Amino acid sequence: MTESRRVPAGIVLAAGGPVCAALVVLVAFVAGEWAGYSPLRYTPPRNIAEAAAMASASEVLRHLRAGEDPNAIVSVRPDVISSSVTEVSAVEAAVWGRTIELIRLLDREGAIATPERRQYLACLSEAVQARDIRDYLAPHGTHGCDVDAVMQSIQARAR
Amino acid sequence: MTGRTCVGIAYGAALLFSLTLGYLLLRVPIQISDSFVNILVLDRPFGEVIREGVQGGYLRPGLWGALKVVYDLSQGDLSSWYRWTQVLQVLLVLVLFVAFVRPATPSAALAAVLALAVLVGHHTFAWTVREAFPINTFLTIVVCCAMTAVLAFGAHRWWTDAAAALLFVFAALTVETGLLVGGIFLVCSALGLRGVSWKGATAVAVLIAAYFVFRFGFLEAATPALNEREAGFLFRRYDGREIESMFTGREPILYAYNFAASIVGTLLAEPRDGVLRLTRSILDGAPDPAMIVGVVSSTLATILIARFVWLRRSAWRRLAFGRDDRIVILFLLVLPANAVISYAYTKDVIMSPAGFFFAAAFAVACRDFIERLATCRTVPGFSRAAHAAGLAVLLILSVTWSIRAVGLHAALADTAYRYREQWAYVDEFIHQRYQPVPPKVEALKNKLQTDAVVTHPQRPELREALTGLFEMD
Repeated sequence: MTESRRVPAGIVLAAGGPVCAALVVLVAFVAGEWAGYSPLRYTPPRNIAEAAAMASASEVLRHLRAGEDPNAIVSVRPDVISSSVTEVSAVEAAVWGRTIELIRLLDREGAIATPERRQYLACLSEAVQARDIRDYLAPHGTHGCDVDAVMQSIQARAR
Repeated sequence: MTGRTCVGIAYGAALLFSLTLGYLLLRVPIQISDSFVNILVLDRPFGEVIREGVQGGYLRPGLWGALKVVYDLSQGDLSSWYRWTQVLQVLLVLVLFVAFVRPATPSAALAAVLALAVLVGHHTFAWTVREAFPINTFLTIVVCCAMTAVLAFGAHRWWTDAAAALLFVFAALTVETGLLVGGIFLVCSALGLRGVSWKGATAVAVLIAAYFVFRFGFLEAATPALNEREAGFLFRRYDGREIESMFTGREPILYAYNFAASIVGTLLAEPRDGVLRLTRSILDGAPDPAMIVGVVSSTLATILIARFVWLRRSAWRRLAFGRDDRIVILFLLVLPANAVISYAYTKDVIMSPAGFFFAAAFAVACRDFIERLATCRTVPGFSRAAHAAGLAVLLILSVTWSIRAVGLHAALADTAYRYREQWAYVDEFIHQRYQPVPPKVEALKNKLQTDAVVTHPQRPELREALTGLFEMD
C-alpha cells in the first residue's frame, strides 16, 4: 500500500473541513445550551398559559407542580394565540392548543373544577372549532352556548 | 506530524463527539415504554431479577444483571445513573473505535476523523442512543464488539483469553446479537491474529456450542413466531397479524427478505427498518432530503470499501493480510452474520455491530483513497480531472456524513422533547396497566415524572427550518 507522511491541504480541506466545521457547530451548540442560550430552538413559553397554548404538556405540569393556578388570567404574547387574544388562563389557552390529551391532563389535575367551568370551556372549544375537546368536555352538547359572547369576553380583556 | 499527534487528533475528535452526544443524552429522560415496567422488577433480590432474563424462550440474564447493578448503585437516583451509563457507553464505543483503527499517520488520522462521523451518523447507531430500556442492550453489544476487536487485534497478554471468554459470556447472555462477539473472536483467530490465543479461541468456540445446547436443549427456546412483532416489507411496515397472514407457509421469503434488507440497508441506507423509505417517498412525488443524504453518503462509503477490496484482491488470494485487510475482512464477515441474526425481524439498530465495523472498514478504505490521491500527481496518466473527482468524492462524503452526525444530535434533542412530553401523560399509560395502581408503581411514577418534568424543565423544539436534512423520526 502507498504510504505518505504529508497530506496536501486540498485533501485535508475536502475530507476534514466539513467534519471539523460540524464539530465546531456542535460544541458551540452545547456550550450555548449549557450557558442558557439556545437560538436554534423556538422561543420557550413564558408562563403556564403560553405553555398550554403551545401544547407543551410537560411545561404545563411543571408550572402546576410549582403551585401555579391554571385558571388565573395571565398575559401571553400576541404571536402565541392571536393578536386579539393576549389575556387568558391556562385552561382557556389549552383549548387553543387543540390537544385533547392536555385538556384531559388539566382535568385530572383538578383545573376544571365546576360544571359551569366545564360548560364554559366546551363553549370556547365550539368557538375555536376544537371539536374533540368540545365532545370531551360536553358529550351531551353545548346547550345555550353563545360562541360570539365567549370570544368577545376573552378579547375584551386585552383592551 | 508524529504518530502520537495523529492518534491524539483522532482521540480528540472522539472525545468531542462524546462530549456533545453525552450532553444531549443527559437531557433525555428515561423513556416510559420498555423502561418503566423493567425498573419495577429491579427492587427484587438479584437472583430473582436474573431469572427474569431466563424465561419465555429468552436467555438474557446479562441484560437484567446490568440493569440491576446500575439500579443498586444508583441508590434511587435512577435517571442520572442510567443516563450516565449510556454516556459512558458512547464514550467507550468512540474511544475503542479509535484504538481499533489506530490512525498513526496524517492520512489515517484524517480518515479516522471522517470515519467517526460515519460511525456517529450511521443509521444503525442512531437508535442505540435514542432509546434505552433503560440501558440500551444494542449499545451494550456494540461496546462488547468494540472491546472484542481491540482485544483480538492487540498483543496477547496473560489475561486476554479469560477476558475474551468473559466478554463472550456476558454479550451472549445480554441479547442474541451478542453471539457476534464469539464469531468475531473466531474469525480474528482464523485471520492469524493472536491477541486472543488458540486456547482462548477454542474456549470461546466451546462456549458458543454450550450456548446453543443450553438454549435449544434445556430452555427449548422457540424461534420467534411471525405474529410477534411488526415488520417492514417493501414499502411499509405491517403488524404481526398482517405479517402472519402474508407469510404463513412462506416464511423463507420473509426471512430471505429480512436478511437481504439488513445487508443492503447497512451498506446503502435503503431499505430502512426493512422499508424502502426513499423509494416510497420518490414514488409519492416528495423525495425525502434526509433519506437522499443517507443513501448518497452510505453508497459512496460502500463504494470506497468496495474499491479497497478490489485493489487488494490479489493479496487476499495469496492470503497475505495486513492489519487493514483484516479490518475490512472482519466487516465483510460480521455483516452477513449480523444479518442472519435479524432473519425474523429486521430493524436498523440490530445491525449496529455491523455499523461499527462498517465505519472501521471505511476508515481503512478512506485512508487508502487519501494516500493514493495524495500521490497520484506523480503517477503517469493520472489527469487533473481525476484528481478533482477524487477531491469531490471526499468532499461529498465529508459533507453528507457531517450532516448525518449533526443530525443525530438534533434527533437526540427531539427525543428528549418527546420523552419529556410523554411523562406529562404517564397517568394514561399507568392506568391502562394497573387498576388499582399499587403504591410502589405510584411512587416510581412520581419520582421519574418529577425527574423528567420538574428537575430538568422542557426545552423548546429545534426550529423546523434547521432540521430538514436530518432524520428526526
